[in-house]
Amino acid sequence: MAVVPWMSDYEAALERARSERKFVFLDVFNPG
Amino acid sequence: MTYPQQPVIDTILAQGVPVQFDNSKAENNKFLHDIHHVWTPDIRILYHDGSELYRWDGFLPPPEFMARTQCGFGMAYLRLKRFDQAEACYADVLTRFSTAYAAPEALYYLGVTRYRRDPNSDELLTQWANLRSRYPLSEYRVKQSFKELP
Repeated sequence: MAVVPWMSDYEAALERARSERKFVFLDVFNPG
Repeated sequence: MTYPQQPVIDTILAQGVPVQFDNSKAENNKFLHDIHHVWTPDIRILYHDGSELYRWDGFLPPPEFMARTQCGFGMAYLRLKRFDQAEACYADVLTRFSTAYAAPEALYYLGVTRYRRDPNSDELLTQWANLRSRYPLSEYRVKQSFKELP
């Protein structure tokens, strides 16, 4: 099964988005 | 159900850096309060300074999710005045997901994108005419309906 490579560090995601000229794709979920 | 699909993952990763928060974990409460979180899934497309460029709530099955995501990236590029990339996103929605709920939005903003890139073009009214023809019952048809007044 394919899996989205989610990050959990928000600040690191912002920095990666900046360096890769991408956007942050933020998902808030509930496991229930 | 939606995320394990490879085309969905490819759509996210093409232009996004995915980050995820569990709203049942107390450690996330402050962050979720700060972003005014209310319902899941809560999906946002952010600029690298943290500013929000697009958002939606609620489950979507894979094709609808992909179309909505492409609309989101289109709006993100449009807000940054990266018109060629915005146009490509909206055109992709209209090519691959023309029956999706997001398609009328894509056609509405395809016209806006081309108009913003070249205010002298007739693309705004051209695409809005296409919108009236292709999606006559959509909310986005209503949004351009002032152009239908006599």
